[in-house]
Amino acid sequence: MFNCIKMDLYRMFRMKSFYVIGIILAAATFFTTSMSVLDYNMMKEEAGQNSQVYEQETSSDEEPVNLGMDVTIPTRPGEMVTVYDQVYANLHGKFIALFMVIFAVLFSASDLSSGYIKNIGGQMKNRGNLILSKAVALFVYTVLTMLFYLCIQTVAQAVCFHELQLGSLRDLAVYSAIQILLHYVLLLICMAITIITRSKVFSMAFAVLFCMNVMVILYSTVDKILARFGIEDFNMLQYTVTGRMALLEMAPSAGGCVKAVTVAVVFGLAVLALSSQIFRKRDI
Amino acid sequence: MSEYLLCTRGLTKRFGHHNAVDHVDLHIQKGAIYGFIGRNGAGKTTCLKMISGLSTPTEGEIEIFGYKGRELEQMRSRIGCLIEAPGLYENMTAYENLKTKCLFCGIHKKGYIEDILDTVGLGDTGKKQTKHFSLGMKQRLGIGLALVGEPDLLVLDEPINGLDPQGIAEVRDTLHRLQQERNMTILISSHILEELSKIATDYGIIHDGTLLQELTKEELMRRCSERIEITLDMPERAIPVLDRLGFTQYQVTDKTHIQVYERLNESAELNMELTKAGIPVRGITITSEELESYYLNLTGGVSNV
Repeated sequence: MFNCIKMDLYRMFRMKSFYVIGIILAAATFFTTSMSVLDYNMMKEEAGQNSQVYEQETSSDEEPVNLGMDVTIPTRPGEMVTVYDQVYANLHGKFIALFMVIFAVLFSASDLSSGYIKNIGGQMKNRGNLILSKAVALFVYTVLTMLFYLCIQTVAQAVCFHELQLGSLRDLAVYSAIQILLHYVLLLICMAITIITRSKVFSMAFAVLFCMNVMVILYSTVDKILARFGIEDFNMLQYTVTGRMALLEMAPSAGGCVKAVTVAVVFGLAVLALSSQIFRKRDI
Repeated sequence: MSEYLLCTRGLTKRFGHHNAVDHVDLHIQKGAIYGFIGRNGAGKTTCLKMISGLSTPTEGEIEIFGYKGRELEQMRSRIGCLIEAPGLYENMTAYENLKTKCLFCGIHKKGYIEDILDTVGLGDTGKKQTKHFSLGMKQRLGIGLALVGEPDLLVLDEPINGLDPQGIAEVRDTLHRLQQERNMTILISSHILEELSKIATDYGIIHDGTLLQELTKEELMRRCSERIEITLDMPERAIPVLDRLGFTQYQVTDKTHIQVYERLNESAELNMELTKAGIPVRGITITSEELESYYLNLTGGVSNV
């Protein structure tokens, strides 16, 4: 198993897409941060004209999750944009997740599509361990990418705003840690879809749709069906990984953290068990 | 424990209602180069996948190195395989592809990868990515990957497919060397009997999922070599005559035929002696068979070969 992990890490760092996606992520982070400067200046001007309306619009804690990608900084007029504001906007909007899921699909599919799996698949005592080793490699990838993103975001913030304010470090640490876990589980889901469907195109499309909140349509349909059966206040979004990514508050409460971690652990274990079991039993 | 390094009993793989492999009993001795011959779609690859652990049999048993069932799972690392096209990471070099497999096998010996590259004749590929390799180079790297971990059994599925004559010769030399230097047992499949005959020591012929025949190289050559073929009603009556005349290399092949593999220029005398002994001879001819036609006769035609 340890050898498998070493092999997967080796091939992960040898993948061109690992670096290409990293470079695009960095460029996109700079781009969104520079856009935030424009947004922030515009917001300041508008808020100066009608601050009361803005207060009313942003007073709701529970933001609705809409279709598409929504990357909006939560900074209120008069306040300085912090690194944490940017991190929150990008993680909550699944902007960073979009890059990560693309890599997860490419990484998970590479040994299957190249046929390399045939060189090693028969030699494993338990072929399901190959999935667990991929999961470990994806965890390393998630942590490295998040750390890389945090560094790039800090630099971009300093460059674009000519001033650096980190925001609440405690909240940033807690929020980032939980988002790392949720992002990791999202990658595991994408890996499982890739392994089960054996189709790079299908799983890539699915992964992108996850990040664009398209599954909200399905969740609301389920909610409506359940409402017809008398379960009125059920909100499926709360029990999904992408839902938890969007619903996690900026100053995460203990309850919110527990809910997010629970959803992540349940989904993580379920997809790992399912994908490793299918991979073990299926012919290569 | 079985006398064979590999044997299968009633090995079957069913896809829906179709038996891709149907109760195949293979017997491969240690140190043999076993040529597994069959047309496209005969069931060779499915069989090899099951032996390599890439596919689970629907029925039957595989015994390798004397182990079967769950015990065999522990021994799979002693099998190296190249199934269908070589599985390579195209953006990596030959060295990096081998390094990946070495990490998987837990091999960190210095110079190990270079040795394998030299063995398969890819020592000078340097930083060239495998996507720029010729088909022959890819096949040889595929064999190199199968060699990582010093396997005792090498399973190669059509390793000469699509290669030019020089590529075929290179692969053949590599396999010869491996068998002689490392006493490796090699199971190699192909539908090109002529090529297999230059390397294999034993043969298994599969057709429509069923193993038709297993024979040694000597048996195959004898069956394809020049011989006197006697057609008569009761061959058993001719045996004392053949023995009295000093013939030792002959075989009663069926109820009406005897094949004699020696002293081919004495067919007239043999005919006379049989007649003298009161054995009516319907026909006596000198015949031979090409390897290819032997195989075609056995599998029943020329279509799809």
